[in-house]
Amino acid sequence: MDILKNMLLPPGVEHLQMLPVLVVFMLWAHLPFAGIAWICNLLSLVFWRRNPAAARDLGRVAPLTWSTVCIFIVLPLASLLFLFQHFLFGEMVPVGSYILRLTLPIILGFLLLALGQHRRQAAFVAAGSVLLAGGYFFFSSVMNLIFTPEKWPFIRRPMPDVFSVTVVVHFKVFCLVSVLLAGAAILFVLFHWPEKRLPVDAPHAETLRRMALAMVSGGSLLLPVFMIWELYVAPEPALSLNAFWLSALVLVLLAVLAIWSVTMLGRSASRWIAAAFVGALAVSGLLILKDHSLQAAANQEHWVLLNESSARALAEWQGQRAAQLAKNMVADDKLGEKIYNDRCTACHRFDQKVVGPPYNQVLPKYAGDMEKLKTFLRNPVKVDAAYPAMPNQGLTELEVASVASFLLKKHDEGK
Amino acid sequence: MALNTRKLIPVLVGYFVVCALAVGALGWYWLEYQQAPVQPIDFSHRIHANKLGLECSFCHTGAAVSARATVPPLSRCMECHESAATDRPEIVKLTGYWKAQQPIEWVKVHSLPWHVRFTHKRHIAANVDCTVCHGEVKAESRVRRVRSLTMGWCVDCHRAKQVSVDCWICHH
Repeated sequence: MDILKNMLLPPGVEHLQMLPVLVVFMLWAHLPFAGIAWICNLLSLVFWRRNPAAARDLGRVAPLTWSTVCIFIVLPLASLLFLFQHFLFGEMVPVGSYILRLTLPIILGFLLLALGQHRRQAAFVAAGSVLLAGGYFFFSSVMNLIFTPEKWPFIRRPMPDVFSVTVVVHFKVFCLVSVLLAGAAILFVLFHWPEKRLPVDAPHAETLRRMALAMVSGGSLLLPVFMIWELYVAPEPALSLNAFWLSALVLVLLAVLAIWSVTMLGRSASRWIAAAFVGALAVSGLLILKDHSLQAAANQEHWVLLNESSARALAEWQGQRAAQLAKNMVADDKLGEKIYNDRCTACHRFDQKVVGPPYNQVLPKYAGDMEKLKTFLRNPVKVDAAYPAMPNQGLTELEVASVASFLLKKHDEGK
Repeated sequence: MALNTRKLIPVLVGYFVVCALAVGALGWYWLEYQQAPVQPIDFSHRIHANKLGLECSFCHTGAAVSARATVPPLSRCMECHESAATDRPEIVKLTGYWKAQQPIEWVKVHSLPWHVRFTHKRHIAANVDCTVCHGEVKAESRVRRVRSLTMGWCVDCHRAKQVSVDCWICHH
């Protein structure tokens, strides 16, 4: 995957500031939609023969069209590939190539789901669901690998280490969040969204409502166990106070969702569906933030060095650019004369000593070597003990070139 | 048929309180035992190893020649700090230890169990970079343990470098 490495430029300082925000945003754009689409299609398989209408309705909770696949699947995955390559720039872990390898089966999985729903072929939906299960299991292992830097030197396989406890727990968390989100999305789309809601007399409406509420309550009740397990098995350097605060916030939201879903199970109609859906989206967002806090804490030293090298590279580039500009600068004699009159004459004359030495005494040593005079003007140093050091005038490159040219010309004319 | 779920709510609240206590306990354990310890002097590797570019062996003189890397004696610090940055609070503290001829009681960060005989000398001789076990210490303001230093991790490295994994290599 050298091609991938060669495509990357070192990240700049401003880019590094935006990088964590973009990573979290892209994961949040991708994972909730992917989870909802995956679980709803899996569930539609359960109803495929017994209740085709319910299966069709589940298929339209997260519609897989060209635009949704591009916006929620292809674009975020392609962005994540480059964002993680930049996040781990200079490190030996091939996260970018792993994501690239995962992107194809994941996109293929979603295309199979879309094809299966469109042609009403259960085999395509089943194949797509299996492909996605495998794809997201490996995706979990890649995310896990990012906050386990001690494993990086020993990677020998084309895919990361998949069967460790931390990876399995991480994948379980993804599955449970997807179940929770899918339950909330089914309620939101089929029972709240005015254009898509089921007719009141639809025979399978109550079955779907109860199933969705059971998914929300099941997800909210099981998720804390795996979330705590994940914190327990997370590597020590990946932990930070942020991870614990975010987990506590997730627990509060899950408690509200669990109480809401259990209460609604006891009623014949559901209320506050939109708020519950937003709550479920917030849970997934907070869990993504928590995951990112683990990755950031585990890589904090790398991050410090990356920021420093970026700042150094930027300064070096600016220096080279300034030198190049200075080399190609065309001196402006009028500007030089103005600076001479405004500033230089306060301390210097050509033929007499004022505060500084007379020009006729010091300029001959710069004759034919304007660069030397420009260097002095950029950064004046004390030369003659008989005179005080000249203060730095803070001139721009154009001003330096202009005043140096003016002084040497005037000196040559007066000879 | 509507279920009577009202009775379940106290059970749910209790369950989430237990979960919150578990998260709190894990957080407390991490704060107390796992995060980077506070040292008697807030020494910054970031300034010394990164900004000033000092080699690790400049201070940890034992690493290449003995089993232990050794913490530098106060005299090594004072070679520079008798005149450098003497007005900074941490250097004032350092000078206080020097004047009182009292050693600084650093908190050990990279500890191994008593039955492991790790020698720095052999690893340095085999060109194992310090960062392999200690991470990028030069980017740390306060040193923390970034590798688990468990047996499995050591064995992974030995296998990758095709070095013996006999028990007696480390447990003699």
